[in-house]
This record gives sequence, structure tokens and C-alpha cells, in this order.
Amino acid sequence: MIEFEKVTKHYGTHKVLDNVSFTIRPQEFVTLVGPSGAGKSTLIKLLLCEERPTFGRITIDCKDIHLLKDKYIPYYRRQIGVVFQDFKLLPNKTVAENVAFALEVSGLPDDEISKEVTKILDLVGLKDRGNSFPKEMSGGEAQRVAIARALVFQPKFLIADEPTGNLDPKNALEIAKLLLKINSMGTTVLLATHNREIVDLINKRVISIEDGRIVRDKRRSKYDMHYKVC
Amino acid sequence: MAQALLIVSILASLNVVIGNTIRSINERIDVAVFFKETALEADILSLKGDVEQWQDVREVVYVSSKDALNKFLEENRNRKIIRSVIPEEENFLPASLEIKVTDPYKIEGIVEQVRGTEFAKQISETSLEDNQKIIEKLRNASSFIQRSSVMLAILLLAIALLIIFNTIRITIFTRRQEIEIMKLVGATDWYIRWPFIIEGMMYGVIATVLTTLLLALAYWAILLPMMSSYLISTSGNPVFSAGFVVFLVGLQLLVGLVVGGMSSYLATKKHLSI
Repeated sequence: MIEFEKVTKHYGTHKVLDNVSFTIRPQEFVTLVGPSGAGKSTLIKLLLCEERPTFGRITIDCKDIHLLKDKYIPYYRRQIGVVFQDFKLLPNKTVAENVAFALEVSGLPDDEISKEVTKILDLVGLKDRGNSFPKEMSGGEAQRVAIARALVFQPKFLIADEPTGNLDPKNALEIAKLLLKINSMGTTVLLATHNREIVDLINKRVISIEDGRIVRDKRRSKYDMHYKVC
Repeated sequence: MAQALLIVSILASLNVVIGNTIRSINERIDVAVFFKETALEADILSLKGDVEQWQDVREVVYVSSKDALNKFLEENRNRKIIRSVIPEEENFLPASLEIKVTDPYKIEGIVEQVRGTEFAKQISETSLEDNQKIIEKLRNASSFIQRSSVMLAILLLAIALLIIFNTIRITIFTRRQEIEIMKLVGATDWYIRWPFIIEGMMYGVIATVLTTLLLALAYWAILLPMMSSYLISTSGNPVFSAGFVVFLVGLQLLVGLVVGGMSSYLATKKHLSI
């Protein structure tokens, strides 16, 4: 359970988030929409502990993450998966190495890393591309690698910040389907996007944010059967 | 870094050499008390007996007028002109007591004490003043060399620290993407920092190797030819012992590792925002 309680964030005198409150329940899929500069990225930075709220409280499973000491942040980040618009893959490492990299950081033994990487690449449909380099892949494939890396720790919670922003509509659709698949397997997903097609496709809870405030929080009980996946 | 280590090594060697020289000169420093021609040998020997009992006196040697002449003649046996003007039967050199002390700073007090005895009237002069000047000069030179070397070493080490700091900063900049990703996937600060600290320490190790090679080169190219001539006596000099070489390399390595590691630590602290 993720809870934002009256969260406000200032950068100097500029207010980026203003009294934001919402709750995300376990295994929920939430889409965060809003124009550029609305505060989506700041909200994600707060969740990743890259920034601290000026006021308010952020809890995950009843733990105050806004009070987390710096030295515990790396361990906290291993519990959440993150995917970015620009993939953030290391160009000089192969696909398998990029995914393994996250596990190496945690100090897992090599044989376990190898097993996990194979399993996770299979999940994102890149089982045979382990030895390819990021530059040899399409945008959609690169984003799948990034998703695979985000999932290696089997996080309860996956944050995707504009994951389809650099992709063509076909690839964007594929990524959206993959996120839905991951959600159906029990992972809570928070997707930040301003792509209306993707939002309509996913057809789940949508939180709209404008000028740092939540202007709409619409819960849909079922999603459009036409795009149903899994 | 190699330059700084070189200075540190030279400083360490100089300290040992100067310390050793002062010690050996101190050991040689003594004061000669010269007696008038009228002084009786029995009185002088009696004074010798008294002085030997004093604190801070290591040794007292009686040099009779005849011994002094023999010594003088022996030292100048090849100088025929001197020999020719000295009448062998007539002794013009005074008898003396050569007093060796445990602490050169006590010489003045001892001379005062000698002058305070009943034999004071038989004393013509002492060698105190000449010796004091030499000791003072040596002490001043040694403290000047030590102070300036320490300042130079600190300056060069500070420069080395800044250069390594900058090098590591550039490495951090070129690897910023990797570092950012490491942080996002949950790498701890030290997991990210260690490679940089090891890199900084490697600069220290490389500098130590370079410095040792340079010092070895300087030893064979400059010091060995000098030693074979009259300038430096190697016998019993601690600078040329194997133990000192090990100490010197150890010192360089320690300073190199500390400076290299510290520069990297500071650079990562400032530029990794971890």
C-alpha cells in the first residue's frame, strides 16, 4: 500500500506539488497523467527517495519513506522497480549484462544471477537476445530490457516514468501490454504518461495531475475487453 | 604524486642524515681546557679526577705538553717547513684536559664549573667559544632544512591531492550514466565509491614505484660516485642500510595510499552526491 498524505514539494519558491493525497492499494494498476511540468516526475522522484517532500507524509506498507535515512535508501530501492523514458541502459554491456548488473549490485552469487536473468528475459520476450547490445535493439526491445532489469528483484511495486515516450505507437502498445501482464502477476504498477491512447488502452485507475494538484482520480472497475491481454 | 613522494623520501633521508651527523658531531664535541706552563701535572691530574666524577661528563683525557707536541708533529710530519721552524727540544704547546660530555648543551656549565675550582688560576683558556659557534650553525642549518622540506612536502602533497581529485572527478563525469543507474538499481554508496578509491590508491602505488626507481637511479648515478670520493662516508650511515630503504618505500606507499585514497574519497563525496 502506497500512501501520499498532504504532500507538498517546493523547489525554492516554486511549488511543484501542492497538498497531494492518494492511496494505491496492493496489485493495483494506476496511471498518472498530466501535461509536462505538472509534477509527475517529482512525484516519482519522491517515491524513489531522490527528493524529500517539503511537507506531508509518504508511506509504503506503513513505513515512512520520506524519513528514510540515506544509508537505507539503496536497500529500499531494491524493493521497487523503475523504468524510464530513455531506458537508462549501459551501451557497453549486453542485454544480459545490463539485467545482471542490478543483481551484481545487490551482491547475489553469479550462478543465481545467471538463472534469474534467463528467467526474467524470458518473461519480457527477449530470451534469445541476451548477447545483443542495446544499440542493436529497437526502442521497444530496449524498453523491455529496462523492464526486465526493473523486475529482477521481484519488486512488489513497479514505477514506469513515461516508458512509451520514445516509442512508436506499435511498440508503445506492446510495452503497455507487458506492464499489464506484470500487473496481472501481482505487481503494483504506477505508470506516468501523457499518452492518451495508452491510458485508454490500459483502462484502469487514472490520477490526473495539473499544476501540482490532483484534479481527477477516476477508478474503473473493469477495463475495455477489446484490449484485454493475458 | 611522484614528485611529492620524492620530496617526502628526500626529507626522510635528510632527517636521518642530519640527525645522524649531529649525533656524531655531538659525540665528537668536547671541550679542551688549556693550562698555563706553570701548572703542575699533579694538580691537573687531581682536577681530572674531580671532573670525571661530575654528572654529564663522559670522559676526561689528559694531554700533557709533550703528548700535544708529539701529536702535532705526527699530524704535520709531511710538512717540512713547519717541522723546520719547530725546535724539537723546546715545547711551546700547553698541557690540557679534553673533556667529553654526554650532552653538548651542558658544555658551558661544565666549563663554568671547572673555572670555579681551586685550579682556576692555572687555566689559560678553553676551546668553548669556537665549538659553540660550529654547533649553533649546524643546528640552525638542520632546523632550516627540516622546516623548508616539510613545507615543500606538504605543498606538493596538497598539489598531488588536487590533481588526483580532479582526475577522479573526470572519471566520475565520464561514468556518470553508469553511476546514476547503479544508484537507481539500489547500489550502496560504498559499492559505487570503492572502485574510485582503489583507482586513487593505484596512483599512489604507481607514484611509489616511480619514486623508488628515481631514488635508485639517483643513488647509483650520483651518490655512488660521490661515496667513492671523499664527500660521504657510508660506514655506519643509516641512510644506506637495507632497513632504511624498506622504511622509505613503506613510507612512500603509506603516504601515496593515504593521499590517493583520500583524494578519491573527497571527489566521490563531492561529485557523486552520495
